[in-house]
Amino acid sequence: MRNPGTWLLVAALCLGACADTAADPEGSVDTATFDEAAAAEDLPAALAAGERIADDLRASLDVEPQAIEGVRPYRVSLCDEVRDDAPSLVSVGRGFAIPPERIGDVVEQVRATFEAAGLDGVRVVGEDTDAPLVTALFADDTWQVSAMLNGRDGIGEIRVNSACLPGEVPEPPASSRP
Amino acid sequence: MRAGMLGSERGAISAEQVGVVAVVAALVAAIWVAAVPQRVADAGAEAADCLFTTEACEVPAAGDVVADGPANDHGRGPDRDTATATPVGAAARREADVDRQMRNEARALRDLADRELGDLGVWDELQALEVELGNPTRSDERRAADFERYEELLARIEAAPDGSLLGELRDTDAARRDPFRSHEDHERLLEVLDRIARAGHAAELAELLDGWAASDRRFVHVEVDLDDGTARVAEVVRGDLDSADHVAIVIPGTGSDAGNFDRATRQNAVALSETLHVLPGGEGVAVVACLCYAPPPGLLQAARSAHADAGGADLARIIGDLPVGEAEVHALGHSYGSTALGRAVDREGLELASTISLGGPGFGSGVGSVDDLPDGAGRVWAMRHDLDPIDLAGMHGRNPDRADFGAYRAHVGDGDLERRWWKPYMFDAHSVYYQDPESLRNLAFVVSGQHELVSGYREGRR
Repeated sequence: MRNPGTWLLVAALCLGACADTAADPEGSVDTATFDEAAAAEDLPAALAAGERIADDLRASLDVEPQAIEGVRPYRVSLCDEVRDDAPSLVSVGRGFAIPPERIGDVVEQVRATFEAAGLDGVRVVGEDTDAPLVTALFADDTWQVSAMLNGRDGIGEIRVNSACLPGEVPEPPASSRP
Repeated sequence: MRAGMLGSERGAISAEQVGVVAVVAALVAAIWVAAVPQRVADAGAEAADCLFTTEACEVPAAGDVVADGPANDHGRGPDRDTATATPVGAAARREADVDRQMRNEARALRDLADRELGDLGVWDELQALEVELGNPTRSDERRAADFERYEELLARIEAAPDGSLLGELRDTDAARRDPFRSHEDHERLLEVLDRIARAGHAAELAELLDGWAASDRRFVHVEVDLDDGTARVAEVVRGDLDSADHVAIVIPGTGSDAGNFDRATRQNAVALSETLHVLPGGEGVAVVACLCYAPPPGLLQAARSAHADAGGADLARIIGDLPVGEAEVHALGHSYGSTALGRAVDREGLELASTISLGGPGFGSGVGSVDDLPDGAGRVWAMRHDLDPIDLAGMHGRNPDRADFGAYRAHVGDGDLERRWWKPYMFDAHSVYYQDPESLRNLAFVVSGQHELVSGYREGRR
């Protein structure tokens, strides 16, 4: 190891490893689910993809899954009320519990996860409040994913809004599933 | 032994008899149990029997206690026999009243549809027979029978009273066959065609109202205009109006009607409601989906103010009559709904804690700033996505999201809009207000009285 070139190689390898570690935070998600969502051509496919993204994202965070009373696992809304044949979007929600003192950590974790997944327009709304919101877009900005937190009550919600698509899905169950 | 056998036989016979009696008794009991809810429903619908007291049709006063047991066939009424006392407020009583009213409206609509479609059936049968009678391949017997029926139908049509659909079909028949008739004749013919369409719509609306009345949903207002087939409906989707500190009223815009209420207005109210469940401080907020006026069916009609003029009066009457107690009322008008809301506040004296325009073209002609609205408007909010083409509309007063209008403002996120530099406006941006999480977060804070927490806060003059 007297050769300076060897030292340089070792240093470069170490730096590379460090960089890899930084780019692969604890809360990384499977980006294949985002590609799957982008390929959805109707509402049932979008619902399935949205549920996988929301479940995957929630599992990647350091939070406890928890149903939020009064919130259904998904909802559907018309993209244009003027047209009878308008497409709809499906909005999938997943609740979680979190100690209030960890809200800031989770916001950072969500932001890092979104950025690591290559999502667009990542931003935090109300960072200084006890109700911060992290949002991002993907699939050419036609899908949206967000995490809304409630530091006062120690709860939060992942929400995935699909693109506007044709098709129908059944009425959702009354309350969110844990 | 003999005696013993006889005794055994007697015992066997007795057991059979007992068995038969038991089965018959069980059947009678089952039929009785099945019939009781139907009788209660019939009593409620036909005789307006009060759901909450043993006295027929006497509405209890505020604060009365009523039975709180298993639900009856309405899904939420009490069972008097297994009662525990709980207080019932004005909102709960209103729900029971509206349930009955909904069934009555459905019955009236069905009667209308049956009558009109029956008339249309007679007319259509006559037209078909006219064609058949000219068919030379039919047998003499069949031709005679058809002719007899034709004569019978013709007599019915001749005897149809003026004003009935059959009478109108008869009296406009000449106009239908002659394109050179007078303008008045053709106007009358168009009215007949419109009336036929309304009859079909009435049947659909009756089915819809029956379904709502049979559900456990909480409607606090329903009324149907039999002349034009429009419905005004208000449903509580979250919270309790009797005890809420704040009530958010979600008012839709162009294109909304009873047929898409569940998929549009109600879904928007549910989205706001679910956001309130997640955010801090949302506990005391009730949310009402309020199709409380007749929005214009399309963009062409939305350019005029007729629907807003009539709608403002409807909104003021219906919202003003909701049993909200001492709660602060925040009304959110989307698109044309904000114009009708502006009319309600400006000309009909509706008093609110907040008047909120979401992608609204204006609060009505003559309203150029918050200073033109009365004090009853409360705090005035205007939210518009920067790509929402409503920005181009200018026929209903000044666009309230303009800075000099003086309304409070908050951000609307992009939702899932595909923003591109060459698109100055996107029609989808007009529907983003109840979809985008940032927009919903801000609306939730406004209607829960925490407006200082909204993002993109811009202070208004009022």
